Amino acid sequence: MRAGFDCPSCAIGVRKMISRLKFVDRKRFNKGVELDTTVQLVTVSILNGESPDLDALFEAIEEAGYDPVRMYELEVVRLKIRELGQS
Amino acid sequence: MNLGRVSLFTGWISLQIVSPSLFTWADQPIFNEMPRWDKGYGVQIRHEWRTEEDLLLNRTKVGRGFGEDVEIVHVESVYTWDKSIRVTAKFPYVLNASRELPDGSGGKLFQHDSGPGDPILALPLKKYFNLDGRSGSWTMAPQIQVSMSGSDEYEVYENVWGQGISFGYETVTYRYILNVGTSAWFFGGDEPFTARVSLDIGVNFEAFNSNGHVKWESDYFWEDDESATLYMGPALYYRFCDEWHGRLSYRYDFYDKQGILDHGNGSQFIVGVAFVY
Repeated sequence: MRAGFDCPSCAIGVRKMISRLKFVDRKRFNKGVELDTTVQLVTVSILNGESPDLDALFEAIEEAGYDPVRMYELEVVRLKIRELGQS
Repeated sequence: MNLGRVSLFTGWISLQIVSPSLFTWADQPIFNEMPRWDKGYGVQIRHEWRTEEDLLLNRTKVGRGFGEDVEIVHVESVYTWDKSIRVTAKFPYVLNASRELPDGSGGKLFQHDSGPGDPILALPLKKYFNLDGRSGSWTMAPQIQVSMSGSDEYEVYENVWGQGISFGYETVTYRYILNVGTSAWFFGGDEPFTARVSLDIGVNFEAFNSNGHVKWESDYFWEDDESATLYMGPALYYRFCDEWHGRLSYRYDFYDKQGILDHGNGSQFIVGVAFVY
Protein backbone atom coordinates (compact mmCIF):
# COMPACT_ATOMS: atom_id res chain seq x y z
CA MET A 1 0.00 0.00 0.00
CA ARG A 2 1.28 3.46 -0.77
CA ALA A 3 0.25 7.03 -0.14
CA GLY A 4 -1.17 8.96 -3.06
CA PHE A 5 -1.54 5.91 -5.27
CA ASP A 6 -4.90 6.95 -6.68
CA CYS A 7 -4.45 7.68 -10.41
CA PRO A 8 -4.31 4.55 -12.58
CA SER A 9 -2.62 6.28 -15.51
CA CYS A 10 0.01 7.97 -13.35
CA ALA A 11 0.60 4.67 -11.59
CA ILE A 12 1.44 2.53 -14.60
CA GLY A 13 5.09 3.29 -13.91
CA VAL A 14 4.73 1.17 -10.77
CA ARG A 15 3.92 -1.86 -12.90
CA LYS A 16 6.71 -0.97 -15.32
CA MET A 17 9.33 -0.70 -12.57
CA ILE A 18 8.23 -3.69 -10.48
CA SER A 19 7.73 -6.08 -13.40
CA ARG A 20 11.43 -5.73 -14.27
CA LEU A 21 12.48 -7.29 -10.96
CA LYS A 22 13.67 -10.87 -11.40
CA PHE A 23 11.66 -12.37 -8.54
CA VAL A 24 8.34 -11.22 -10.06
CA ASP A 25 6.15 -13.84 -11.72
CA ARG A 26 5.22 -11.95 -14.91
CA LYS A 27 2.79 -14.68 -15.99
CA ARG A 28 0.30 -13.76 -13.28
CA PHE A 29 -1.82 -10.63 -13.00
CA ASN A 30 -0.75 -8.01 -15.57
CA LYS A 31 3.00 -8.56 -15.95
CA GLY A 32 3.07 -9.84 -12.38
CA VAL A 33 1.58 -6.67 -10.86
CA GLU A 34 -2.00 -5.80 -9.96
CA LEU A 35 -2.83 -2.11 -9.38
CA ASP A 36 -5.88 -1.15 -7.33
CA THR A 37 -6.12 2.61 -6.92
CA THR A 38 -9.46 2.40 -5.13
CA VAL A 39 -7.63 1.26 -1.99
CA GLN A 40 -4.09 2.38 -3.01
CA LEU A 41 -2.92 -1.23 -3.10
CA VAL A 42 -0.34 -2.92 -5.29
CA THR A 43 -0.20 -6.73 -5.37
CA VAL A 44 2.95 -8.41 -6.63
CA SER A 45 3.15 -12.07 -7.66
CA ILE A 46 6.39 -13.77 -6.59
CA LEU A 47 7.97 -16.61 -8.56
CA ASN A 48 7.87 -20.02 -6.89
CA GLY A 49 11.03 -20.60 -4.92
CA GLU A 50 12.10 -16.94 -5.07
CA SER A 51 12.19 -14.58 -2.14
CA PRO A 52 11.48 -10.91 -2.83
CA ASP A 53 14.26 -8.36 -2.59
CA LEU A 54 12.41 -5.77 -0.53
CA ASP A 55 15.01 -3.04 -0.99
CA ALA A 56 14.73 -3.41 -4.77
CA LEU A 57 10.94 -3.49 -4.53
CA PHE A 58 10.76 -0.29 -2.49
CA GLU A 59 13.28 1.42 -4.76
CA ALA A 60 11.20 0.49 -7.80
CA ILE A 61 8.12 2.03 -6.22
CA GLU A 62 9.98 5.23 -5.38
CA GLU A 63 11.38 5.48 -8.92
CA ALA A 64 7.82 5.25 -10.13
CA GLY A 65 6.95 8.34 -8.08
CA TYR A 66 5.25 6.89 -5.01
CA ASP A 67 5.98 6.14 -1.38
CA PRO A 68 5.45 2.63 0.05
CA VAL A 69 3.90 2.95 3.49
CA ARG A 70 2.69 -0.53 4.46
CA MET A 71 3.24 -4.09 3.27
CA TYR A 72 1.08 -7.18 3.55
CA GLU A 73 2.56 -10.62 2.92
CA LEU A 74 0.42 -13.55 1.86
CA GLU A 75 2.28 -16.78 2.43
CA VAL A 76 1.63 -19.85 0.34
CA VAL A 77 -1.18 -22.00 1.71
CA ARG A 78 -1.10 -25.67 0.85
CA LEU A 79 -4.48 -26.98 -0.32
CA LYS A 80 -5.22 -30.56 0.64
CA ILE A 81 -7.74 -32.54 -1.45
CA ARG A 82 -9.39 -35.74 -0.27
CA GLU A 83 -11.35 -37.97 -2.66
CA LEU A 84 -14.69 -39.09 -1.19
CA GLY A 85 -15.83 -41.56 -3.87
CA GLN A 86 -19.02 -41.74 -6.05
CA SER A 87 -21.56 -42.24 -3.19
CA MET B 1 -0.44 38.31 -32.02
CA ASN B 2 -1.28 40.46 -34.96
CA LEU B 3 -0.36 43.66 -36.59
CA GLY B 4 -2.91 45.19 -38.89
CA ARG B 5 -2.28 47.67 -41.63
CA VAL B 6 -5.15 49.68 -43.00
CA SER B 7 -5.22 51.50 -46.34
CA LEU B 8 -8.16 53.35 -47.85
CA PHE B 9 -9.61 52.51 -51.24
CA THR B 10 -12.57 54.21 -52.85
CA GLY B 11 -15.55 53.14 -50.83
CA TRP B 12 -13.68 50.27 -49.17
CA ILE B 13 -11.17 49.60 -46.51
CA SER B 14 -8.45 47.12 -47.35
CA LEU B 15 -7.12 45.23 -44.39
CA GLN B 16 -3.83 43.43 -44.31
CA ILE B 17 -3.11 41.10 -41.44
CA VAL B 18 0.48 40.17 -40.90
CA SER B 19 0.02 37.14 -38.68
CA PRO B 20 -2.92 35.28 -37.17
CA SER B 21 -3.79 34.34 -33.64
CA LEU B 22 -2.50 31.06 -32.36
CA PHE B 23 -2.69 29.94 -28.80
CA THR B 24 0.38 28.19 -27.52
CA TRP B 25 -0.66 24.75 -26.29
CA ALA B 26 0.17 24.76 -22.61
CA ASP B 27 -0.16 21.08 -21.73
CA GLN B 28 2.97 18.98 -21.78
CA PRO B 29 3.23 15.49 -23.27
CA ILE B 30 2.01 12.93 -22.54
CA PHE B 31 -1.46 14.52 -22.23
CA ASN B 32 -0.22 16.34 -19.14
CA GLU B 33 -0.36 12.97 -17.35
CA MET B 34 2.74 10.86 -17.89
CA PRO B 35 5.38 9.65 -17.46
CA ARG B 36 5.67 9.98 -13.72
CA TRP B 37 8.53 7.49 -13.49
CA ASP B 38 12.30 7.66 -13.94
CA LYS B 39 13.65 7.20 -17.48
CA GLY B 40 10.18 7.23 -18.98
CA TYR B 41 9.58 8.39 -22.52
CA GLY B 42 6.71 8.84 -24.91
CA VAL B 43 5.44 10.28 -28.15
CA GLN B 44 2.03 11.70 -28.90
CA ILE B 45 0.37 12.85 -32.10
CA ARG B 46 -2.46 15.36 -31.96
CA HIS B 47 -4.54 16.27 -34.98
CA GLU B 48 -6.14 19.70 -34.61
CA TRP B 49 -8.94 21.30 -36.57
CA ARG B 50 -9.69 24.94 -35.80
CA THR B 51 -12.27 27.21 -37.35
CA GLU B 52 -12.59 30.96 -36.77
CA GLU B 53 -15.95 32.29 -37.85
CA ASP B 54 -15.41 36.05 -37.96
CA LEU B 55 -12.94 38.80 -38.64
CA LEU B 56 -12.84 40.87 -35.45
CA LEU B 57 -11.65 44.26 -34.36
CA ASN B 58 -12.17 44.46 -30.62
CA ARG B 59 -15.49 42.65 -30.33
CA THR B 60 -16.92 44.02 -33.56
CA LYS B 61 -17.26 41.80 -36.62
CA VAL B 62 -15.62 43.36 -39.65
CA GLY B 63 -17.72 42.45 -42.67
CA ARG B 64 -19.42 39.07 -42.96
CA GLY B 65 -18.20 35.65 -43.96
CA PHE B 66 -14.48 36.21 -43.50
CA GLY B 67 -13.38 33.01 -41.80
CA GLU B 68 -10.27 30.96 -41.21
CA ASP B 69 -9.80 27.16 -41.20
CA VAL B 70 -6.65 25.54 -39.89
CA GLU B 71 -5.60 21.87 -39.78
CA ILE B 72 -2.44 21.04 -37.87
CA VAL B 73 -0.65 17.85 -36.81
CA HIS B 74 1.41 18.11 -33.64
CA VAL B 75 4.16 15.56 -32.99
CA GLU B 76 5.28 15.83 -29.37
CA SER B 77 7.69 13.85 -27.22
CA VAL B 78 8.94 13.61 -23.65
CA TYR B 79 11.81 12.04 -21.75
CA THR B 80 12.15 11.96 -17.95
CA TRP B 81 15.58 11.64 -16.41
CA ASP B 82 13.87 11.18 -13.12
CA LYS B 83 10.38 12.06 -12.06
CA SER B 84 11.32 15.66 -11.22
CA ILE B 85 13.19 16.57 -14.43
CA ARG B 86 11.99 16.04 -17.96
CA VAL B 87 12.45 17.52 -21.39
CA THR B 88 9.68 17.92 -23.94
CA ALA B 89 9.63 18.88 -27.61
CA LYS B 90 6.59 19.90 -29.65
CA PHE B 91 6.70 20.03 -33.44
CA PRO B 92 3.64 21.47 -35.19
CA TYR B 93 3.07 20.94 -38.89
CA VAL B 94 0.37 22.89 -40.70
CA LEU B 95 -1.36 20.51 -43.11
CA ASN B 96 -3.61 23.15 -44.55
CA ALA B 97 -4.67 26.60 -43.48
CA SER B 98 -6.77 29.12 -45.32
CA ARG B 99 -8.34 32.42 -44.44
CA GLU B 100 -10.60 34.95 -46.07
CA LEU B 101 -10.04 38.70 -46.06
CA PRO B 102 -11.65 41.69 -47.75
CA ASP B 103 -9.85 42.29 -51.04
CA GLY B 104 -10.50 46.00 -51.07
CA SER B 105 -12.96 45.90 -53.94
CA GLY B 106 -15.92 44.25 -52.32
CA GLY B 107 -14.76 40.69 -52.78
CA LYS B 108 -12.75 38.12 -50.85
CA LEU B 109 -9.04 37.54 -50.78
CA PHE B 110 -8.04 33.93 -50.04
CA GLN B 111 -4.70 33.10 -48.45
CA HIS B 112 -3.16 29.71 -47.69
CA ASP B 113 -0.44 28.27 -45.50
CA SER B 114 1.14 24.84 -45.07
CA GLY B 115 4.40 23.46 -43.73
CA PRO B 116 6.26 23.37 -40.42
CA GLY B 117 5.31 25.63 -37.54
CA ASP B 118 7.49 26.94 -34.72
CA PRO B 119 8.63 24.09 -32.41
CA ILE B 120 8.64 24.51 -28.63
CA LEU B 121 11.24 22.96 -26.34
CA ALA B 122 10.55 22.84 -22.61
CA LEU B 123 12.23 21.69 -19.42
CA PRO B 124 9.40 20.96 -16.98
CA LEU B 125 10.59 20.66 -13.39
CA LYS B 126 8.17 18.85 -11.12
CA LYS B 127 7.77 18.42 -7.38
CA TYR B 128 5.44 15.53 -6.66
CA PHE B 129 3.64 14.98 -3.39
CA ASN B 130 1.82 11.91 -2.08
CA LEU B 131 -0.85 12.12 0.59
CA ASP B 132 -3.24 9.47 1.81
CA GLY B 133 -5.81 9.24 -0.97
CA ARG B 134 -4.51 12.21 -2.94
CA SER B 135 -1.42 12.99 -4.92
CA GLY B 136 -0.26 15.76 -7.20
CA SER B 137 2.55 17.98 -8.32
CA TRP B 138 3.85 21.51 -8.64
CA THR B 139 5.42 22.35 -11.98
CA MET B 140 7.68 25.07 -13.34
CA ALA B 141 8.50 24.88 -17.04
CA PRO B 142 10.92 27.23 -18.84
CA GLN B 143 10.33 27.02 -22.58
CA ILE B 144 11.65 28.37 -25.84
CA GLN B 145 9.95 28.70 -29.19
CA VAL B 146 12.18 28.17 -32.21
CA SER B 147 11.58 30.26 -35.33
CA MET B 148 11.13 27.70 -38.07
CA SER B 149 7.92 28.31 -39.99
CA GLY B 150 8.23 29.34 -43.60
CA SER B 151 6.90 32.18 -45.68
CA ASP B 152 3.66 31.34 -47.46
CA GLU B 153 0.91 33.83 -48.27
CA TYR B 154 0.38 34.01 -44.54
CA GLU B 155 1.74 32.09 -41.57
CA VAL B 156 -0.33 30.37 -38.89
CA TYR B 157 2.78 30.38 -36.72
CA GLU B 158 4.58 33.64 -36.09
CA ASN B 159 8.01 32.52 -37.35
CA VAL B 160 9.66 34.20 -34.37
CA TRP B 161 11.74 33.13 -31.41
CA GLY B 162 10.04 33.19 -28.03
CA GLN B 163 10.76 32.58 -24.37
CA GLY B 164 8.09 31.32 -22.02
CA ILE B 165 7.67 30.27 -18.43
CA SER B 166 4.74 28.38 -16.96
CA PHE B 167 3.69 27.33 -13.49
CA GLY B 168 1.18 24.67 -12.65
CA TYR B 169 -0.46 22.76 -9.84
CA GLU B 170 -2.34 19.54 -10.19
CA THR B 171 -3.93 17.18 -7.76
CA VAL B 172 -5.84 13.96 -8.22
CA THR B 173 -7.89 11.64 -6.06
CA TYR B 174 -9.43 8.37 -7.05
CA ARG B 175 -12.51 10.28 -8.21
CA TYR B 176 -11.50 13.87 -9.03
CA ILE B 177 -8.78 15.74 -10.87
CA LEU B 178 -7.83 19.43 -10.77
CA ASN B 179 -5.27 21.40 -12.80
CA VAL B 180 -4.45 25.08 -12.39
CA GLY B 181 -1.82 26.83 -14.49
CA THR B 182 -0.45 30.12 -15.67
CA SER B 183 2.13 31.05 -18.26
CA ALA B 184 3.82 34.05 -19.87
CA TRP B 185 5.44 34.30 -23.30
CA PHE B 186 7.80 36.92 -24.70
CA PHE B 187 8.27 36.83 -28.46
CA GLY B 188 10.68 38.44 -30.85
CA GLY B 189 9.77 40.94 -33.53
CA ASP B 190 6.51 42.81 -33.09
CA GLU B 191 4.64 39.94 -31.48
CA PRO B 192 2.88 40.96 -28.27
CA PHE B 193 3.50 39.61 -24.80
CA THR B 194 1.04 36.80 -24.05
CA ALA B 195 -0.26 35.62 -20.68
CA ARG B 196 -2.54 32.72 -19.94
CA VAL B 197 -4.38 31.23 -16.98
CA SER B 198 -6.16 27.90 -17.02
CA LEU B 199 -8.43 25.86 -14.81
CA ASP B 200 -9.33 22.24 -15.55
CA ILE B 201 -11.61 20.14 -13.39
CA GLY B 202 -12.52 16.56 -14.06
CA VAL B 203 -13.84 13.22 -12.96
CA ASN B 204 -11.98 9.91 -13.24
CA PHE B 205 -13.79 6.79 -14.39
CA GLU B 206 -13.19 3.12 -15.01
CA ALA B 207 -14.54 1.32 -18.07
CA PHE B 208 -13.70 -1.76 -20.16
CA ASN B 209 -11.02 -2.90 -17.69
CA SER B 210 -9.19 0.39 -17.93
CA ASN B 211 -9.60 3.99 -16.90
CA GLY B 212 -9.85 7.55 -18.07
CA HIS B 213 -11.23 10.92 -17.16
CA VAL B 214 -13.56 13.61 -18.39
CA LYS B 215 -12.51 17.22 -17.85
CA TRP B 216 -13.94 20.66 -18.36
CA GLU B 217 -11.08 22.85 -19.50
CA SER B 218 -11.06 26.65 -19.33
CA ASP B 219 -8.35 28.95 -20.67
CA TYR B 220 -8.09 32.71 -20.65
CA PHE B 221 -5.51 34.38 -22.92
CA TRP B 222 -4.48 37.99 -22.80
CA GLU B 223 -2.10 39.83 -25.12
CA ASP B 224 -0.70 43.29 -24.58
CA ASP B 225 -2.27 44.49 -27.84
CA GLU B 226 -5.57 44.37 -25.85
CA SER B 227 -6.63 41.01 -27.29
CA ALA B 228 -8.33 38.59 -24.91
CA THR B 229 -9.98 35.22 -25.38
CA LEU B 230 -11.80 32.90 -23.02
CA TYR B 231 -12.31 29.44 -24.38
CA MET B 232 -13.71 26.39 -22.70
CA GLY B 233 -14.81 22.89 -23.49
CA PRO B 234 -14.78 19.20 -22.60
CA ALA B 235 -11.93 16.72 -22.90
CA LEU B 236 -12.01 12.93 -22.75
CA TYR B 237 -8.91 10.88 -21.94
CA TYR B 238 -8.77 7.07 -22.04
CA ARG B 239 -6.02 4.53 -21.37
CA PHE B 240 -6.23 1.68 -23.89
CA CYS B 241 -3.40 -0.17 -22.12
CA ASP B 242 -0.32 0.85 -20.14
CA GLU B 243 1.46 1.96 -23.31
CA TRP B 244 -1.31 3.38 -25.54
CA HIS B 245 -3.52 6.32 -24.63
CA GLY B 246 -6.04 8.52 -26.42
CA ARG B 247 -7.59 11.94 -25.96
CA LEU B 248 -10.38 14.00 -27.52
CA SER B 249 -11.05 17.65 -26.79
CA TYR B 250 -13.32 20.40 -28.02
CA ARG B 251 -13.08 24.08 -27.19
CA TYR B 252 -15.25 27.04 -28.03
CA ASP B 253 -14.47 30.75 -27.80
CA PHE B 254 -16.98 32.05 -25.27
CA TYR B 255 -15.40 35.49 -25.31
CA ASP B 256 -13.12 36.86 -28.00
CA LYS B 257 -11.71 40.34 -28.40
CA GLN B 258 -9.01 41.20 -30.92
CA GLY B 259 -7.10 44.38 -30.12
CA ILE B 260 -5.74 44.34 -33.67
CA LEU B 261 -7.72 43.01 -36.61
CA ASP B 262 -7.78 39.22 -36.58
CA HIS B 263 -10.03 36.22 -36.99
CA GLY B 264 -11.93 35.09 -33.93
CA ASN B 265 -15.10 33.56 -32.49
CA GLY B 266 -13.80 30.09 -33.21
CA SER B 267 -13.80 26.51 -32.07
CA GLN B 268 -11.20 23.78 -31.95
CA PHE B 269 -11.36 19.98 -32.07
CA ILE B 270 -8.35 17.77 -31.30
CA VAL B 271 -7.85 14.01 -31.56
CA GLY B 272 -4.72 12.63 -29.93
CA VAL B 273 -3.04 9.27 -29.55
CA ALA B 274 0.05 8.56 -27.49
CA PHE B 275 2.60 5.85 -26.76
CA VAL B 276 4.44 5.95 -23.45
CA TYR B 277 6.94 3.63 -21.84
